[in-house]
Amino acid sequence: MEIKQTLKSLVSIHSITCKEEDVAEKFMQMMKEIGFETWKDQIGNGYTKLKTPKTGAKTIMLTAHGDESGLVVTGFTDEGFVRIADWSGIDFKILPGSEVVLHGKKCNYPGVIGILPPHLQKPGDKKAIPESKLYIDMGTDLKETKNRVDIGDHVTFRRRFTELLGDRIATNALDDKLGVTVLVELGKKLMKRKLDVNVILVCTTREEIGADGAKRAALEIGPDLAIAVDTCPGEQFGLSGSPDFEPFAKDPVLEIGPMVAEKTNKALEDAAKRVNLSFKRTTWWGGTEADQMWMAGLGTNVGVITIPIRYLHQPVEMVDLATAENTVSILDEFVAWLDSDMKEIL
Amino acid sequence: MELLKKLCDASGPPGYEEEVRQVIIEHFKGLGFEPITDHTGNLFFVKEGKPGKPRIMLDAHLDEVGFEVIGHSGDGDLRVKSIGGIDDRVLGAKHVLVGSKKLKGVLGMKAPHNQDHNEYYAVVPLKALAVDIGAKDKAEAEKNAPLGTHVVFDTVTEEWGDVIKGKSFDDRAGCWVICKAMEMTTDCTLIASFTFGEELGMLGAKFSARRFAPDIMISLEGTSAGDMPEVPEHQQCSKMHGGPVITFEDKSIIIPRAYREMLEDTAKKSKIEYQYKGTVTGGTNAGRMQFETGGIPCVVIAAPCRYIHSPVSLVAKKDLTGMIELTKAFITRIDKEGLPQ
Amino acid sequence: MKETIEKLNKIIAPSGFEDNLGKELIEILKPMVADTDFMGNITVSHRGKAPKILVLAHIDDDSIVVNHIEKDGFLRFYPASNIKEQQLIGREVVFPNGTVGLVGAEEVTEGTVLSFDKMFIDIGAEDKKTAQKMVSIGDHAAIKHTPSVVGDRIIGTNSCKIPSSILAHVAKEFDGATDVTFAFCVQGRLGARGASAVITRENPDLLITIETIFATDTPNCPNKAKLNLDEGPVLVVGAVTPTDKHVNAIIEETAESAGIKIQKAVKTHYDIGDARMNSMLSAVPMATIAVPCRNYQFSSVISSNDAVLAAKLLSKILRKKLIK
Repeated sequence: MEIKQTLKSLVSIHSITCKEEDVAEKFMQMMKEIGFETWKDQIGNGYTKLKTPKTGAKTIMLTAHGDESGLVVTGFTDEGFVRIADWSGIDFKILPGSEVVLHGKKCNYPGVIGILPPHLQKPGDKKAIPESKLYIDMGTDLKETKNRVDIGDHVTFRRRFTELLGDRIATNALDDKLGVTVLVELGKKLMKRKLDVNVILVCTTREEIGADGAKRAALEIGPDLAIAVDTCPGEQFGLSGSPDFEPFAKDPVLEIGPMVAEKTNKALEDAAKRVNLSFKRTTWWGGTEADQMWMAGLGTNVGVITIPIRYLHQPVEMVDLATAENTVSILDEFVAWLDSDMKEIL
Repeated sequence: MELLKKLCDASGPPGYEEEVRQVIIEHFKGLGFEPITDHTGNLFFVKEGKPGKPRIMLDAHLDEVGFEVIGHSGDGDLRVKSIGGIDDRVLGAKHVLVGSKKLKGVLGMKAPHNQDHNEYYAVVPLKALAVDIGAKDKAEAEKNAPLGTHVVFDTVTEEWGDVIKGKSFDDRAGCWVICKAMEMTTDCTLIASFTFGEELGMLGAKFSARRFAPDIMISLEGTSAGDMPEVPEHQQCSKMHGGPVITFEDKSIIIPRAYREMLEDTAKKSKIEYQYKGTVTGGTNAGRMQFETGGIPCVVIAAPCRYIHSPVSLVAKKDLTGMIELTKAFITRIDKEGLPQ
Repeated sequence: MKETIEKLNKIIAPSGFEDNLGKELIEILKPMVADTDFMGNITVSHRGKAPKILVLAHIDDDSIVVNHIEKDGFLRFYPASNIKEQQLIGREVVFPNGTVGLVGAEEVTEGTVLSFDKMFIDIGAEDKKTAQKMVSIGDHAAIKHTPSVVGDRIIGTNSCKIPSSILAHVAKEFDGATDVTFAFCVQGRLGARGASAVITRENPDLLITIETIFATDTPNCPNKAKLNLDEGPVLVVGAVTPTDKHVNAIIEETAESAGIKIQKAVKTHYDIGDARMNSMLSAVPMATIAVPCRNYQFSSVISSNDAVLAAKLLSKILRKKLIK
């Protein structure tokens, strides 16, 4: 499965928010091989472009963010343990017993987040261990620890690409390397088409801390339509039927509401129908790049498509790749259908 | 360290230790031993010594803490319960291996975005979580992981410089030490006892003691190292890099003083750095065997391991080799001088 | 009996460190020959006609165990037997080598519960080095008792000394025809550990244990069972561990024909020691004779009459055919 290989390549790269260079590079390299034009900006966004021969054609931009959530080193203990804090959206409850990677001065180092010995754990203790009491153990003394890392260095989770049953994968940072993967696979398909619009696919930065990357992209490119491809919480154990969670392993999700032009959404749904697929509609979430792109001047010429995944912001995020593949097919059909003046939408 | 890696990577919660047994049986076959088993799940190997010499039992338990499948949800998730003590706080966002085929699975939590304030600061108990193997529905889940399937953490054993990272050093470290010690030459009879079900209450120990009635039992264990932040010094059970841990007392046994002193003296004379178990906590098979067959004197030698009973533990290479050296030196001494009194 | 009880009270015997008391018992038991095993259990065997009876008493005291010596000479400890934190504050504890210490506690803020990890022992040492000359890690300490005699009553005794005093008197003079082993067992406060090892070694046909039991003749005692001082030894029946009806019937008959008034009591709480001894026996009956004892934290009041009668009753019972 090609999409699996692309995803595997992308998730193997550590790219904590504010340190996304490597993944942007990889994205641009993949797209270059496909045949897109590539460049990057000062904030680290990786842009790729497929120009249409039609003169005066409009531009559609699709974004997916390359940054992932992680931790930061805040200090050391006398014995060489490393104190940490959340950097971009990690639930500290998942940390005890986790294997992490510290991005040190010269290279990366493995570590484990420690727990209290069994005889000191009070049974029935309902409070989670607070972040301030957590630490990373690299098995080193203070001298060696300080040799390796500094205050301010970043920490991500150890990489695992786990193939479960069927097309289901559990791996790190599906949010939003899955979206970047969709862009790459979309790029491959679009190369085979005769397009009437300019297409720009962007691997953006800093989504987890306010989507500055997307804002910058919107301002720089000024597209006529921008669609963010991201992930959303999918139904998982104990949370089926809850309105906050989307059905898992089924349709990609289309966000509706006053901030998205209904015309865009209808056009996307029609595209889906033409390839025998569909979307699930859900009301506007907020918390994706579309917010920033809307505010950067695009107004309602934005759209949001998300793929439901389980266990968001954990190193075991899980997706059914069939949903991702379907998303690629729908977007391929949609972009190919667009006229050079996009009048059905704008 | 190859054998240690094989032992730690094997799956074996209490009652499901088959894979671990196989690794050990294969190792001992290579040394020319035939396995002896009993009806409970224990595994033994005997190296006969000269008559009149003490019969020494080396004991370690096969099992590690783990989980078993107790049900399936409509969406295809596996409901599990833990076997052996595992703190709820280490469960979130971890990888597991399911069954003897070692299918991959994950234990995932609710995304932080969807938690309200109270949820955010509260421990999520195991019963609110499930193992996800990617099954589409209940039928697929049941087919791949029926009721009773065992589950362990999926941790790869790796060397990090002078430290080893892995799971289940409690008590694969002990098993490994016995595998190595049984290669030695001695006139004493050596009985390697690999017992089952220790984590659930030392289940196999009694049968082992009654079958072989040794003159002395040496329990090889993995104990918790407490040299971490948030642990005051007088509550530190042991320190990593401090050498093998000698117990003077735990909740299950007071080590007979003459035997403990002999063991300590052996360490001193052989220049092996050792440490006391600093807290009177926990229990081992020795606690269960001490009353059998008229009373069996027991000593406990353990490796200090950080983060036992969780997905990822650390142990120092130096402490492991120290453990083997001390065990061999002690056996040699018993061979030469006999047992105290 | 009073002298024996007084003598034994002078020697502390914390669990695992019963040697000093053991030596004294061996002296007291002379001319009987006593064996000692690796745990410290002392047994006097009297070979005779079947069935084989094992009579035992636990000889150890409640204790604490030192696990850590701070650099400024304070000791950190764990409770070895079932002791509550509050019972120890301000108490004087004694180590087998005579070292004395006072138990203290760190400041505890309102609303938090005192726990052992916040307590320590002050032996007056100014630093770790000095302390290490006085105690070792692993040492146990117990509370010293200096009882006084008031008529027939003894106040301030360690209740743990009563069963061994009674058993010593009986063992020393026993000359019946039955096969009886008298065992003075160690680590009883930790759940009959020494006794369990003796049981698997002796494999008796009947087990008799000598104990003390809570008396209820104190003001407003919540326990409504009638167990008073000076009303004779107590036959413990039924409840948690099974006692044999047949054996108990013979005990009652013996008491009656000997003119010894006895009381009866049911043991209502779960005792891990009893459970363990029971599991070591294979379907063998167990009988228990106890002396009523008013326990005030670690010190107790008993009547020596009850103890003397308990010894007399035991001697008579051991001459009877207790099981077919």
